[in-house]
Amino acid sequence: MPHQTDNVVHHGASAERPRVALSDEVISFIESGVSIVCAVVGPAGRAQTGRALAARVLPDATIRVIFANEGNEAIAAAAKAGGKIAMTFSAPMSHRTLQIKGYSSGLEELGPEDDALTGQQCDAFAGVLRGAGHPPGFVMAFLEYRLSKLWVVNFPAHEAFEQTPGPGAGRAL
Amino acid sequence: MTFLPVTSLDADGQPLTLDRLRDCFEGMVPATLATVDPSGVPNVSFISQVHYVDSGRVAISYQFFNKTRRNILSTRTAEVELIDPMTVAFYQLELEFETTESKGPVFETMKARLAGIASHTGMEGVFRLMGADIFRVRSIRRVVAPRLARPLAPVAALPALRRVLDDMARATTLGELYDLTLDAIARHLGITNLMIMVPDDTRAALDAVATWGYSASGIGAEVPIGDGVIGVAARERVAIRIDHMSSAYTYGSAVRDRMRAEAGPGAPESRTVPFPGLPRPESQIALPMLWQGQLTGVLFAESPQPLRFLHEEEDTLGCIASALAAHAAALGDEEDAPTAAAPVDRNPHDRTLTLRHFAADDSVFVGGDYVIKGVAGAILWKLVRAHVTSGVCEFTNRELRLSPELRLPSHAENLEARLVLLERRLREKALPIQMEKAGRGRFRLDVRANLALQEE
Repeated sequence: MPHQTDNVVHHGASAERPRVALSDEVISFIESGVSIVCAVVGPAGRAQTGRALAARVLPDATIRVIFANEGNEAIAAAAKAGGKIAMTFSAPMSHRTLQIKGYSSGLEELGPEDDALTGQQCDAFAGVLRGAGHPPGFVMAFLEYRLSKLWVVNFPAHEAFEQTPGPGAGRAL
Repeated sequence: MTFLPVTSLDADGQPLTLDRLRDCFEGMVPATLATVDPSGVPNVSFISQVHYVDSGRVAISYQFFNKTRRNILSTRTAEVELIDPMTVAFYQLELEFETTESKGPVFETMKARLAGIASHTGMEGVFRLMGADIFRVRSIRRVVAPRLARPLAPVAALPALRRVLDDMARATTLGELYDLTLDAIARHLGITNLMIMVPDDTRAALDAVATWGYSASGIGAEVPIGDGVIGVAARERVAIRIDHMSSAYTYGSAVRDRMRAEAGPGAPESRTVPFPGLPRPESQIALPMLWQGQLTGVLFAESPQPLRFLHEEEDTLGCIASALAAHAAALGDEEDAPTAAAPVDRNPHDRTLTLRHFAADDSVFVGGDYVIKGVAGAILWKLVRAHVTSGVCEFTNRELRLSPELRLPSHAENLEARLVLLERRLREKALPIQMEKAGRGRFRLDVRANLALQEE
């Protein structure tokens, strides 16, 4: 079963792997204020889940993801160790969903741009949640953890998959 | 076998159990499922439904054969994150895969709920349940503390349940029990569209024997076993609930058209009573009434509001359905009156009533007007023939129970339910034939017309 040492080895091996070219349209979708969930593999070899607040795609197809420390301790630990991350982006109303995987290049503090980005994407996502019928109190509380300690995880898009429910789910992008 | 997974304490020092997380299973906020493949690559997806199976297990809807599914089958582990829609607390459950069920109570319960979710989210035709993946819960962690106070329920379920049970205990006859129960549910729980359906095993259908809150009483309306939430609850003997109405579970003209078609050419125009349900229900729930392993009825409630019946309402109505089954069995268990010389009525009347009987389904008509069918129809036909032949107008339950032509199921309470149904249909049709109780295990046929009987 994989463990932390394996992850570090994978990380080193992944540096030369080709990255998936994401279209402008896919990048806009990722950055539009969607629901972002992630998974890593913990020290016991079991999958662990978490939730992110915002993301952007850098010119070299690195995915830069902002997440709160609260509720995401497993993600932070795996990211710090260079473990593999799976990140799924979904628009609740259209159900459009895609998943990107790659090895983390570690944890970083937020930069000034990240702060603004988090605010914009959380506000956009709050609008989506309200549009989906969630009460304002729920929406406010749901996104409240953006006020806690935030981190950035960077990972290259080594694999990308269509995940919208239906026959095309699982197709590589 | 079930167990109570207690692995940590919440901020109040209370153990975390699945029972305390039941709001998380209402499907209001999609859950997240993380899996890993044998080479250690993680995968994460949103899932429409995590179902509470019991205090130690959950089920996840298996809809597509995808990477998640392959990972579950190969590593047999997963983690799911649930969000409490009331408090916005986040919980993570470590799961061990046990099995996949593609039929049976858990599967059918999830199928109905998923149909509602699909309808609500515009995914009808895409979401299709292929199986219920059952997982044992290894641990529960609260990873984000509650941010909102849990809202107070408009009705405190336990005291309300107690008041309903108190009211039910006053019933002295089965018909009274049905009416008192629905009245009590409406008054104490604020659920105002209700029905009690009783099964007729001879034709694999259920008939409405008591209703509450509809413009037409609908007594005698029928639902085939397996159709909609009522029919599936009866077939699977499990509570079936739908939170957003789905066309797959809607009763209406389709069912009526099918029944009419099945009646065949030459059949009278209609041999059904229209289903009295709400025109546009959003929430429906059906709970089986079980006694000694037998289905004795289905308690049904519906509402135009979505998400009207959550776990708490399901638990409360489930207790009422159980009590209803037990009371009905006790009231139906009357000692049979001995067969005695019955009063005879041979007085001629001013009017003549023509009754027609169709042996194929034991339906009985007055002229072209449908009255009843099935076991209750057979009972009516037996009674009127006896009356015409010998003038007898008083009968015992015992003679009906022993009558081979009635093909009565072995469980006695079903006869009582049939008699209540027949008595109510006759009353509702305001026919010059009425039934009334004449003592324990005995009833009287009050006939105020000359009867002409036609076997069709």
